[in-house]
Amino acid sequence: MINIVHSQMSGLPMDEGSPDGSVSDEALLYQYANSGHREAFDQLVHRYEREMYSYLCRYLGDAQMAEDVFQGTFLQVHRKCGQFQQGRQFRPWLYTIATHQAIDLQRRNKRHRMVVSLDRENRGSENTLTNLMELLESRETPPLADLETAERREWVRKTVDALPEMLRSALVLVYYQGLKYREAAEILGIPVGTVKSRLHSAILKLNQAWQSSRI
Amino acid sequence: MRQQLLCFLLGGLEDDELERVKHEIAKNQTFEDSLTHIRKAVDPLDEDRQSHAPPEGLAQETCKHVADERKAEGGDTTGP
Repeated sequence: MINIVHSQMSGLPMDEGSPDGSVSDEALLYQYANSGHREAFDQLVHRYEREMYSYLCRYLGDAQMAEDVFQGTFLQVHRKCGQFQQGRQFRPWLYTIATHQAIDLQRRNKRHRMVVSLDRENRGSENTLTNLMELLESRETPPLADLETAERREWVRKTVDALPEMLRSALVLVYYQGLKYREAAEILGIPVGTVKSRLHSAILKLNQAWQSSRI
Repeated sequence: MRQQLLCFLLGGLEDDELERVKHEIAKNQTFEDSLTHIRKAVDPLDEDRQSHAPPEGLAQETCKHVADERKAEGGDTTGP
């Protein structure tokens, strides 16, 4: 069993580290794991509804799949909550579960992404940066400048979606979801340096795609 | 340093790294210029920064789904 500290006011465990006095994710999970208090679990689901659904939409590029994986993710949280180690943070743990669930679903669906134009071999990050700088210097106008807002959003979404999965996942976790490089590395099971080099490759490939579109 | 500048623009640096990069930028105009240049590569991503709205009732359905699983497991259904 996990040791918990109970709040005098709410009956839920409090985390000393919560600056706004609200119950922390970790405390809610401990509460659920120890006493099976459904309210604690439901609070976690609601707290992460938008963030996790948005992540899964970006990761999977499909709303229905995102919905399925969202449900599957919290089912796993329910099943594995007893294994959650004290001292860990809930958010990266949740992302790890969600990412594994998403990968499993993709494998089951044998879904093949259209990555032909962007799926070239990953090079070293210094090379990548040099290429990116050269590309930026050769560009006369900002990319997508001539498109309307909605068209630009759609174009960006499509090009990000067409990135090879290992680059897209790093980009989505760090840039769009706001996770630290360290957390993304933990979620993806790779070194921090690899997360950084994947992000650099992703930015280069996106810029090459925007450049070649001649927009 | 160019690598660090790109990392800085993409976010995700630890607080101490962030402060270090900010300090370097503040004291070196070349880095400031490089940052402006590299920003052009990252800015288009902002076009799709808006998060995806979940379908109505997703959280409720998920909670119900898990509660049903617990019942099937014969577990406690403590809660409201």
